[in-house]
Amino acid sequence: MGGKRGTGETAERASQQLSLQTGRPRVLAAEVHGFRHPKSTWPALLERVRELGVTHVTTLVPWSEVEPRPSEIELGERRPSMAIGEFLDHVATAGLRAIVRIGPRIRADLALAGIPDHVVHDRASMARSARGNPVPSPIPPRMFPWPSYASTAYRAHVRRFVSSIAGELVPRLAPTGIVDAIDIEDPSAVLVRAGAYARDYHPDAVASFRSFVEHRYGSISELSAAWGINETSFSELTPPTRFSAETPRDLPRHLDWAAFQEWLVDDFRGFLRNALVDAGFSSVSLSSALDASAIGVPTDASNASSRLDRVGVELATRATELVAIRRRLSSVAIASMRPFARILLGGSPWGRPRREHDAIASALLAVAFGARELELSMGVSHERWWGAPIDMDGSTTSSFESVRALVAALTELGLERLTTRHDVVIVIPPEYVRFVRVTHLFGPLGAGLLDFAGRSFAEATLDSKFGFERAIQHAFLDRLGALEAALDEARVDFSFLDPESVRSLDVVPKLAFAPTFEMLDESTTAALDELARRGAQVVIGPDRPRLGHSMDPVNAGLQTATVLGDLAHSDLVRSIVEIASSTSIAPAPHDAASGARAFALHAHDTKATKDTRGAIAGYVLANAGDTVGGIHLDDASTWTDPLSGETFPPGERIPVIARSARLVVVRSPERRAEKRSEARR
Amino acid sequence: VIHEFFRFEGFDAASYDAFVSLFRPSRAIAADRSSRNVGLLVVVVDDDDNVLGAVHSNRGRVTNIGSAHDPEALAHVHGAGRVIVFREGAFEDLAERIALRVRREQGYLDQIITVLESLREIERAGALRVFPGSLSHMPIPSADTLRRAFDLIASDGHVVVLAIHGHKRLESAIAFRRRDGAIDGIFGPGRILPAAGPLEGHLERDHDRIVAAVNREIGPVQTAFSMREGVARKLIAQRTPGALSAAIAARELYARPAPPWLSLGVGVDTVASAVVGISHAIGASPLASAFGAALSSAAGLSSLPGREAIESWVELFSPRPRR
Repeated sequence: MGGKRGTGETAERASQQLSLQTGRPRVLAAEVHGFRHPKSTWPALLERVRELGVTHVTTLVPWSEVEPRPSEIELGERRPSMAIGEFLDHVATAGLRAIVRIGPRIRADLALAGIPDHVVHDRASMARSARGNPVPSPIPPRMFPWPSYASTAYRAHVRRFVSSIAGELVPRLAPTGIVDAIDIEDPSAVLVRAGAYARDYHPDAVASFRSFVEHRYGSISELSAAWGINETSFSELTPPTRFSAETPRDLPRHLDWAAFQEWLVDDFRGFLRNALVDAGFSSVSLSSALDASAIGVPTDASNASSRLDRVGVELATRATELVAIRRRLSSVAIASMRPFARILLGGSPWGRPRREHDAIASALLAVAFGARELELSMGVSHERWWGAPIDMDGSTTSSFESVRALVAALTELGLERLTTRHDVVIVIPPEYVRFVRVTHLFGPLGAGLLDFAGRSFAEATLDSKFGFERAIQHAFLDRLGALEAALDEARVDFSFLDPESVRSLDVVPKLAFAPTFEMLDESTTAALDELARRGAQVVIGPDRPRLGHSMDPVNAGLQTATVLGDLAHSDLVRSIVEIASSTSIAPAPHDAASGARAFALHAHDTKATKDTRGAIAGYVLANAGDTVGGIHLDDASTWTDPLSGETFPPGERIPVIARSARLVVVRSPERRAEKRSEARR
Repeated sequence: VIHEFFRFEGFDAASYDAFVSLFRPSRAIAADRSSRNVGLLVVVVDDDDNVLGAVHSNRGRVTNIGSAHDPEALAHVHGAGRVIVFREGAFEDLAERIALRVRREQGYLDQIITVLESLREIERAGALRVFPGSLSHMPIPSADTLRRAFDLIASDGHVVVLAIHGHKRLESAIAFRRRDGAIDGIFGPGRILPAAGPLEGHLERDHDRIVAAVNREIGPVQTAFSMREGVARKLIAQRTPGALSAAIAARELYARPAPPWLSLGVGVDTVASAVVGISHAIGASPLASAFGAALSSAAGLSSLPGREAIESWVELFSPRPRR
C-alpha cells in the first residue's frame, strides 16, 4: 500500500516549479557539519565518511552563523569553515552526493536553536501568548522568545536568509550538481506539540486564523451556528485564549483553533517552498523530518507529503521503543514517496542517553516500519556531540564498524527497493488529537516539563466529559493503546494511517481500525467510508459516532463498519484474531515466551511488479523484552545476519537477545541467483 | 552556567555509555524505588479547588482524585514523594512572568533564578501548593552565590577531573572546564587518555598521569578525583553523610589536588546524591545530575552565605520515601 504523494497534488502552487523526483534513489547519508570543522580537515573527514559506505553527506547551513549580525553575511570570507559551497565541492570530490539542511530553525545544539540573535529579539517576529507577551523557550544555553511562524516580519527575515545562501547552493543543485535535496525544518515542534493556547496570538497569526475559519465555514452565519455565538464579521473574530467548553456545543471553536495551528504548519512549509523557488532553488527535492504530535504519531503526514518530496522522522530512540518508532514512522511511510528516518548516532549532551546498539536497532526498526532512506546523524562528531562513528580528528570510534556493517547490509539488501506491507492500519482521527491539545492542563511549559519528567504531554489533560458519555481525550488514548496491545498479541502487523492519505492510496489495506467515539469529524467518516468502498474492512469503536464536527447529529456514514465496543483485552485480542483470519491476514512469526517479533521486508516494488504479495527478502527481528528470544521463520530458507555474519540453517530458531533488534536476510539458492542476476544488470 | 561556546568532546558511544551507566540505578534500586512512594504528583484544580486533572511522574495520568485540599494525604493515597497542586492558569501565569523578566543579556544561570523567583511568587499568590514544605519561605540563592559555589570546585580558567577505573582499565574520565564564569567545556576519555599515555592499572599513579595530561591539554586542574567503579557507584547510590570522606580515608578515592572544603566532610554525599537522585527520578540526563552533584557538593560543604537556600531547593525536589 502507499498513499504516495508529492507528485502533482499542488499544481496550483508556485512550488510546482520545483521538479519532483519520481522513484527512489539510494540514500544512505551520514551527517557532517562542515562549518564546525577546520577547512583543512574536510578532505580527510569526508574520505573517512566515504569508507562508511554511504551515498550522501547531510550537512547544515546554520542561519545564526551565516547571518551573525544584521546585514552581515558570512559564507567563508572571514570564517573559512563557513564556505558552504566549497564544502560541497569537497563532498563531490570524495565521490559523494549531498542533502543540505537549512532550517531555518536548525537547532543542531546551537544557541537560540540556530536563529540569529537579532531575529529572535525582533519584537515583530516573536510569537505571542494569549496576553500578548513573548513566549519563552527554556532550551539551553540561553532562554529566548519563540519566533512567530505567521509573522510577516519573521518571514521577511527568513526570505533574506534563503536569498543569501542561494548563490552557494543553487549552482550545486541536482541534476547538474550533487545536492539532491534541501531539507527544511518542521514547525510542528513549535506550533503543535505544545498546548493549544500556549501561542500564537501574534496579530498576523490572528489575521490568518480569521481567514482560516472564513475558508472553512464560508459565511459568518455558518460559523455562528457551529460555534454557538453571534458574530457579525470574520474580521472581528477572536481566537479562544483558554479552554472553556462545558458542553459538546462549545467545542468546535476550540477544535478549530487547534486545526488552525496545524494549518499554520503547512502554510509555513508552503511559504518556505515558495521562498526557495523565488531564490532560484527550482530543481531540487524538498524534504523534512516531521515532529511527533501530542500522541507520538505525526498527524500531518499527508499534508507534508503533498508539499515535500521526501518526508521522514528523526529517531533518538532505544531498541526497546518499538511502539514509539512505529507510531512515528509508519504513517509517513504510507504517505510519502520517499519516507526516510534520521537516526541519531549518539546525541547531544542534553539528550537522552542511549546505548551504542540502540542506534543500530532503531535504524533496523525504522526500515521494518517503512523507511526507505536513512540519514545517520552524526557521521562525524562535533564539539557538542557524543557517539559518532568518526571523531573530529578523523579517527574512527567504537561504533564505526557496526555502522559500516549496517550500511553495507542495507546497500546489499537494496533498501530503496524494499516494500513494507501495510495490510492493517490504525486510522488516527486528527480531531481526537486536537481534543488532547485543547484539554492540556500544563500550559505553555507543559510539553517541556513532561518531556523532562519522561511523561507524555497527552497524559496531562482535563478530566471532564463535556456532556459526552466519556472523556474523549482520555478514552482515545486508552483505546489507541488497547488496539496496539491487542494487535501485537494477535501477531498482526499494523501501521498508522493519516485519514487525509486515504484518497491517494494506491494499495488499500485489508483491515482498518479506528478509535471512534460519539463525535467524529465528517472528513474522517468520509475517509473511513472511502476505505470501505475500496474493499477494506473497517472496524470502529468503542462508540458509533452520532455527532459531526459542529456537534450536529449525523446519521450517514460508517454503515458497513464493524463496531467493537468496550472489550476486555482478551476479548479484543480474540475479536482481532477472528477478523484478521477472515481477511486472510497471516500472523507474523514471533516468540511467545520473550515477546520477540519478526517484521517482514518485501523485496519487490509492488507498484512496478503489481505483485501485492512481494517476495520476502528478509526480516527485522525485534525483542523489546528482558529475556532472550528465538524466532522460527521457516523450514526452507537459510538465513544470514549480515551485521554479525552468523548463518542460521533452515528450521533453526534465530536468537534475538533482550532489548535489541537484528536483521536477517534470506540466503536461499534462488535468492543468490537473483542477486547475481541483479548485479549483472 | 553554560558558556556560549560550550564544547562537549571526547566521548564515543562506548565511553559515554560507561559514564552514563554510573548514574543508572541498579535493577534492585529501581525496583525498590517503584515500590516506594517516590516521584511527583501534579494536580490541577480550578478556582473552587475542584480537581481538573492529575499526573504522576512515574505512573502517568491519575483519575478520580476527590479532593486536593490536603496534598499530604494525596501523597499517601497516590504513592508520591512530592505533591504539587496548582490552580488552573498558574503555568500560563508563570510563563508570562518568565517572558516579561528574562532578559536578552542574562546568562542561563540568571535566567533559571528568574524562573525560581517567579515560581515562588506564584505560590505566594495562592496558585500553587507544595508538599512537603513550601516555596514561599525559601530564600533563593543569588547567581553570585551559585558562582562562588562553583568556584570552590573549579574557579575561572580551571578544570575539575573525575576518573573512574575498572578492574584493569579506565572506565571513564571526564573533565569540566570553567571560563568566563561558565562551564565552557566537558571533555571525555577521547581527549584525556591519548595525552596520558598507557595507564598501569595503579590507581594513584594513573591518577597523577591523568591530572598531568589534563593540565597540559585542557587547562590547570583545581580538583581531581579518581576511584574504582564500584566506589563511584556506591557513592552515587548512597545518601549517607560522610561516605565521601570515609572513602578518602580508606584510600578508595584519591582527591589530588583537593579543594579545602573536602576536609570538612559535612553532608556532601547527601546533597550530591540527592541531586543525582532527583534527576533520575524524573528522567533527566545524567550529565545534568553530574552538574547538580558538583554544584550541591560545593554548596553543601562551604560556609557560603546562601548555601541553605541551595540545599533547600535540592531538598524540595528530592525523591523521598513516605514517612
